[in-house]
Amino acid sequence: MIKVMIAKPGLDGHDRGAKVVARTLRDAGMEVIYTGIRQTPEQIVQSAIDEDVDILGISILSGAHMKLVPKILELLREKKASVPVFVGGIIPDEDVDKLKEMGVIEVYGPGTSTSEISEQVKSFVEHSDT
Amino acid sequence: MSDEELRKKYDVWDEKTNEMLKKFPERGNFRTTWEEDIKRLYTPLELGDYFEIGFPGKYPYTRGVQNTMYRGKLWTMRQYAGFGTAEESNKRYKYLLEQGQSGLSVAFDLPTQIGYDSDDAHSLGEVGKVGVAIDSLADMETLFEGIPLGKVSTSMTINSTAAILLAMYLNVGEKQGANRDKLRGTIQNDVLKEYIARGTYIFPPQPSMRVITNIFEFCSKEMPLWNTISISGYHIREAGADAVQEVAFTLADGIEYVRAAVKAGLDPNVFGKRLSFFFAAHNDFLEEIAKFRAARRMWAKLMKEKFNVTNPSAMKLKFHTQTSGSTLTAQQPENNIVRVTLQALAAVLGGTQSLHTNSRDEALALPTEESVKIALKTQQIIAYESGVAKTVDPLAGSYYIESLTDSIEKHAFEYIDKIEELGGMVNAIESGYVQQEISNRSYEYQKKIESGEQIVVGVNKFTVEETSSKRLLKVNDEIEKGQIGRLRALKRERDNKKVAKSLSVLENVARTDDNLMHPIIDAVRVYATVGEISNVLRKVFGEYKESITI
Amino acid sequence: MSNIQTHEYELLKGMEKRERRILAKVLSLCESDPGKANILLGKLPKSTAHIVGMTGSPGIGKSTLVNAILNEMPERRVAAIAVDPSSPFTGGALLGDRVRMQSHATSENIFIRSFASRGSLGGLSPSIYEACNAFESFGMNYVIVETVGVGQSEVDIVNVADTVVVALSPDNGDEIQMMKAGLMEIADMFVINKFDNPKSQILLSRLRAAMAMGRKEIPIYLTNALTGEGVSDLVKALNERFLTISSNGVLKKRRKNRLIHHAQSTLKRELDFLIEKIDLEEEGIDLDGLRRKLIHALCWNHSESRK
Ligand code: B12
Ligand SMILES: Nc1nc2c(ncn2[C@@H]2O[C@H](COP(=O)(O)OP(=O)(O)O)[C@@H](O)[C@H]2O)c(=O)[nH]1
Ligand SMILES: [Mg+2]
Repeated sequence: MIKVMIAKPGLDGHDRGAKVVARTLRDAGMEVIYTGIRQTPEQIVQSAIDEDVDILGISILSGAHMKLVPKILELLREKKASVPVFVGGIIPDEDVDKLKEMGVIEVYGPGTSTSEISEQVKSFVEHSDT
Repeated sequence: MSDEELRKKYDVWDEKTNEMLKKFPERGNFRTTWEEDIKRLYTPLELGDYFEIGFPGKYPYTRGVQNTMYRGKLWTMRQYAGFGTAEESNKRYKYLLEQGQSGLSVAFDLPTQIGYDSDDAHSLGEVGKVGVAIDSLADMETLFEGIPLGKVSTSMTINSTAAILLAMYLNVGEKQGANRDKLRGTIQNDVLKEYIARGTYIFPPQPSMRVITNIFEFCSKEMPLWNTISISGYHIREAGADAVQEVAFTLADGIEYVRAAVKAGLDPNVFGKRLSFFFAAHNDFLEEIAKFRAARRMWAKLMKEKFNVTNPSAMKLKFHTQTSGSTLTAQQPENNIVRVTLQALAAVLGGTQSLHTNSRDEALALPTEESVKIALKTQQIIAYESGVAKTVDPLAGSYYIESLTDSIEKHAFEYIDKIEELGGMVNAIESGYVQQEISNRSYEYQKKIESGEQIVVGVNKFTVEETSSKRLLKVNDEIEKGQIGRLRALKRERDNKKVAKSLSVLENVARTDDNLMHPIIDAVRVYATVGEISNVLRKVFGEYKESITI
Repeated sequence: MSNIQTHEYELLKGMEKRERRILAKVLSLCESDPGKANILLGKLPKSTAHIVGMTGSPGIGKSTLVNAILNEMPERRVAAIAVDPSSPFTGGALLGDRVRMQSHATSENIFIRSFASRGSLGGLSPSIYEACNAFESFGMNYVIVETVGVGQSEVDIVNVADTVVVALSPDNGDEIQMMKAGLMEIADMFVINKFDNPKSQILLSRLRAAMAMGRKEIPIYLTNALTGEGVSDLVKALNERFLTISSNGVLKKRRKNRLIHHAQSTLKRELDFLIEKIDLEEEGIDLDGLRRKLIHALCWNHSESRK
């Protein structure tokens, strides 16, 4: 059973994409925690740890990703949690590279097929299952 | 030809056509966005009572709210803009005014919209990102420096903190020598749709409704030219709703506001004139035109029949339109110029009062100046070259358009009845009903794109290898530091005793039923910040938590 | 093998040191392999927490109420378990309750965990007993279990909890719900939530009338979970009740009952597992044959068949 958390950090209210992704993952047989909007990085990280999720998906369209995603990664490290992180939303190409360097597994932009996302989550979790 | 003859002829034609289909089948099934089957052919049999179509400027206003429409005055071309600091946005506004834009439209950053100061922990990474950062009256003074508020009309996309920003605007105006009763503009001030689709809510629905009615009341007495609310379907549509849902949920919000105002003792014949609406112009060209016409007719009926309004100007649904950002793609961004053109044309054919056209880089970042220019030129071409502005409601009488208009009206009224059954919009929102209806549509739409049933050029068909040489607008990260610096300096330099006193007066008033506008205006004047004022209200009103629907 | 042992050692040490991250892992073990979790938990000392079941129809405000209760327990170590339904078709689930409690996500003394019902035990998580034990081993003072709120889960909670709180609200047609078989029997306390709604007065008098008929005196608390009104009384009552049942034998009785049900559910799990393993096709088996095979597997071959 795959357990995922889809979180929306910061003040961003764009939840259409996050909801579509959350629902797709649920309908693909996963257990999904969708946090709703306006979560602080601290809340997201502690929840992901307490819920022991297999994967954490962050959705940001507000442009605050270069502040919020690094903060989340840093808190995860601080708390010795090894939760893989995915990001989706409006992320300019140059930032995609930077985020990946920081340890984000994959970044998904507008127009991505959700079934592709669900396949990739599945295969990622299965392969990291040791 | 009588209806009967016509029907006979139609049946013969239909039979023949069905015969032909065996050899030449059609491309597929065709449906409206609300999943109703679309017929092959529409005929005069579809046309209902001509009264329902009527005359422009006359009840039920299907054909428009003015007699002459664009022959008299073109729509207002109003591009929504703002980012970074007040100073930068001020420059952009001046540029737009020089380019021939006829009114201002201010985008605020998220902390300002949600009532946090730039130095609040919640604001991390968001300051100045998607709009201009306003902490205090000082920023607002900079924002409108050199722009005569007595002359321009300004639309502000501000909701939960609308009372505060309006108070600031009025203060700036008065400092410039423009009295509040001369100021023209709009605040969005539609909090119900924030719970449904846009997300910048602060307080629970009840106190939010109170703040809104306080603003209605204040403006009806002191700012008679100000549009006190822009009841918005745009965000509902962009969250994934179909055309019927957009109309239904928007008008249901409208009903709730009118009800609240009437309960507060206001006369709908008077404040009804100051209500305005905001819709999306989506892809389906004909459907969209019909949607605007249906919305106008429905609102007139609602005001007249539900609220017994007799003043015609209070029955007229006047609206702003924005082209649909969610139809614009990151892939092949130049295609977006064409999409926007079609959508803008639909808005004009639907009789909009003002229009924002999105930029080609919509799905990539905030628009560059170059992209905004093309978007604005698109409107100018429609206005001055296309010829569509030469007569009023040119598509009226089209069998299909009229039939679509009727259908949207019928289905939207069904939704409105359902919401009334649930006890009104506040209940419908709290139970998550409306959000779930929208989520369902949004999910279905996404799946249709993925199955190829809905084609999006450049995304799931006619794709090309992307070269990423796009020049994008980048908002400087240093803005946050600068803004926080200015805010800290302000907090040192202002008279903090006066601020504390004004905030405690505000708190006391918040605990009574008195109008909040006056204490907010006083607090703003002594440079109390958006965050400080909002926090006082948070303390009294509590905060809203969304019901999760996916 | 040694790998598993070091893993187990790590878990045990972490639990003793009250590491949150480790508790989270142990709870996952409870879900994925309850048998192993039982063995692990058996090696740990265990305190007694007050296990409170919160039940009632969806939308009544259970999650909001748990959140409000957490607000009132700043000094206690509290676990909140929220169970949401799994889809019988895809197995997927949306775990939505914790969102209402998110303001406590970073509180040091509070641990919120979502479980999916995973189709068994009538809507409570199949690992609910193990999860409660894990929290007790972690030294929690309170474990609050929010049920799915439909069907059997509403009644089954009585086999898990020391105290069952049945929540009602005026806008859910609960007057009928209330009378629904079983709820009256299992309630140790009633809460009428959404008391800000004037219609709750009617609900209150109906509830009183029903109780008078049933010759039962169950305390009723009135709350507005959104503002927290009335919640401190409820919390006070919970604290007092725990003292009372600890000394009057009720707690012992409940725990004995819980142990029996835990054993039953463990056995049922083992049976399910075995039945799944037995290849019925090949044997052309009848009921008697299946029974014999199962008994054989259970009694003689247990450790063998698990491999
Ligand atoms: C719809 C929309 C809205 C709607 C949102 C409705 C809602 N409830 O979601 C409304 C109209 C309310 C809105 C408002 C605003 N918007 Co807007 N909005 C958009 C728009 C047009 C489309 C977004 C969308 O929903 N697409 C459809 C969904 C299905 O796609 P998606 O979100 O991209 O998700 C896909 C992928 O990104 C990915 N994905 C997304 N999340 C996740 C998460 C995970 C874990 C994974 C694996 C994948 C994944 O998978 C999804 C499926 O393909 C975009 C521009 C665009 N075309 O992208 C602007 C855009 C995001 N908005 C923008 C702005 C500025 C705003 C405002 C802040 C304006 C203002 N100043 O007030 C407001 C405020 C909103 C708020 N509270 O935050 C800007 C952001 C600029 C930036 N980042 O620099 C954009 C880019 C437009 C622009 N160019 O200016 N908006
Ligand atoms: N008016 C009012 N609404 C409440 C109260 N408690 C919860 N709610 C609302 O009821 C809805 C359902 O709450 P939730 O806690 O998710 O219910 P659950 O399904 O029983 O867990 C939400 O919209 C809450 O905000 C209350 O005391 N008064
Ligand atoms: Mg719940």
